[in-house]
Amino acid sequence: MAEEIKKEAPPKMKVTIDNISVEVDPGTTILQAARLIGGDVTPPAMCFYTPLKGSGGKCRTCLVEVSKGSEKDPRPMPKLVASCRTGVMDGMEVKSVTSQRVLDARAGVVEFLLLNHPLDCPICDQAGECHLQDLSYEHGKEGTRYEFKRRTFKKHNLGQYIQLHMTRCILCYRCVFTADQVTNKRSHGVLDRGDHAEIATYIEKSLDNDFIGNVIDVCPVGALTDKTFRFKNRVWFTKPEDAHRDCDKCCGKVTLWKRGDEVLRVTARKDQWGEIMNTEDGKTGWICNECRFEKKDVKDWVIEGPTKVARHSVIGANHYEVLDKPEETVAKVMGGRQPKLLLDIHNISDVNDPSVDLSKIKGPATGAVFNKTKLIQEKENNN
Amino acid sequence: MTISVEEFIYSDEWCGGIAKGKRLKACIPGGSSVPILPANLLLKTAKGEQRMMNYESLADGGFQTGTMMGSGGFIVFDEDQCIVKHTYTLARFYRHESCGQCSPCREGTGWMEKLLLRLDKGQGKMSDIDLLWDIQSKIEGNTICPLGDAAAWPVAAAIRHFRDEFEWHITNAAEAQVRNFGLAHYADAREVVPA
Ligand code: SF4
Ligand code: SF4
Ligand code: FES
Repeated sequence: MAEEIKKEAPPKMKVTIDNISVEVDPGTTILQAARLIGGDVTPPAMCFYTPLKGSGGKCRTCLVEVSKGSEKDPRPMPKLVASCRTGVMDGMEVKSVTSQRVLDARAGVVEFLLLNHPLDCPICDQAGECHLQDLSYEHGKEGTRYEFKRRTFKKHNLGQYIQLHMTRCILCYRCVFTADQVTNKRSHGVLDRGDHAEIATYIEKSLDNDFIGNVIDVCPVGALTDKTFRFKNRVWFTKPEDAHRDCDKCCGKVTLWKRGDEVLRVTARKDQWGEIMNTEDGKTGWICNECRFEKKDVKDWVIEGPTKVARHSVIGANHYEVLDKPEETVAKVMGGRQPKLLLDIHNISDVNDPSVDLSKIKGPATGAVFNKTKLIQEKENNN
Repeated sequence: MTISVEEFIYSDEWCGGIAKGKRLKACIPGGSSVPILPANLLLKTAKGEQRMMNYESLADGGFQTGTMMGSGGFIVFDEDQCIVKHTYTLARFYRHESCGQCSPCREGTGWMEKLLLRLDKGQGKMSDIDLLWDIQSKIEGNTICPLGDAAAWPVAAAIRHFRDEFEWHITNAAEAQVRNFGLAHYADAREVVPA
């Protein structure tokens, strides 16, 4: 049996992105192949969301240049293509960050997305985990050339738990797909068209479905926010921890966002691309409203341990400081001999002073910072 | 179609010429997305050949000195028409038509419309022209459907061929509100560049 299935498995396809090759199964999109490579090569994706069928193609941040169509038909594609919606072909060659055309187009898309965006990050609950912030920081230009009044909308309450702040919406349609595919009744969609299109529930109908809370997790910006968390805290002051509970409606596997012992917020578990992870049984780990909004007591949960947070993320700042100094092993492996320095840099430079505990220094460390930290430490030691 | 563009516009058998004997300024040989051409490039190609009413001849010179045959429309401008206003009208149309799915078209068409309205009202800045050019280049080819291209082309073509009219609208803002740039030099014979 196993033999037969193996034989039938279609051959892998080789795709080269920015001169790095990977082999993928047929049907893989360029974006998914690029995610296998990771790093800078991976195009940003603001609308595509793996668990949602039909998502993608809207935001245009993931544009790439196909410089060779395939082994059989090596012609380049004339236009940039949306990598989230374009399947790979065997022998395809793609340029992402190595193409100036792509970089320009991406910067253009960022400018378009920010055109009517309020950029009220200081009072936005999404700040710190906002994909638009990351996108504009990594791919945008500083400043805007837009000199007109920005489009604004009124805030709407979608049911008792969710607030829609349409002014911040980038119309990625993820929430529409979620409402359509995860909940059983769709009363949430896009009204109007063009630059006055808006996300809405028909006649502001409250959404009382058990799984509607997931639209908050899929929203890449601060347009859909959790009313039980609004203005309670900044995400970078909270500590994420994986936890679970027995829930008869959903998988019950969540991330708790705590400050001290208080559970401020509950979300589904997300991977490094900000997408909700699969649970062990291979299903998407959507969580129900009860787990998300009503279980705000540590006693409701079995804590599994700290959530892995990407190192560059602002959420990881402040928390996981190195408390133990790493062990010096050089002498051990050198048979007791201490390393011999060719030049004792500590004698001639303010920085790199071995008596200073590096984990006490946050941010860039200049000589002045070192000297100051040293003084503080000496004082502490004398006390 | 073996007749020339000139014959098509002026012969009695077809369009019967321009009303009140006015002179030809520019023409869009198709629907609104087709690039506009000034009279001198419309009647004769850059090589100096008679331009014919067919796909090849109208496309001669690419978008630099040519245009394309559209879907059957044919819009002719006489000497009294203002290109800035007309480009604004088209931009407004495309902004209205944009479905709003993808970001370049949703935001870009609105931005172009606002800039063109400002230029038309005589409140524009010189840098707006280059900005418009940049916006259209960021929309063209980067959208889901060809509406983005269709919105970008008329703006690009208007700036490409009628840049001095745009500049005049900025430098002579007050005059531009009461008078038209007119035919200007758009019907002047072009120097024939040897191929
Ligand atoms: S959605 Fe993101 S970019 Fe927009 S205001 Fe909120 S944090 Fe800032
Ligand atoms: S509300 Fe959020 S998820 Fe929905 S379309 Fe807007 S940005 Fe996307
Ligand atoms: S992620 Fe591909 S177009 Fe938005």
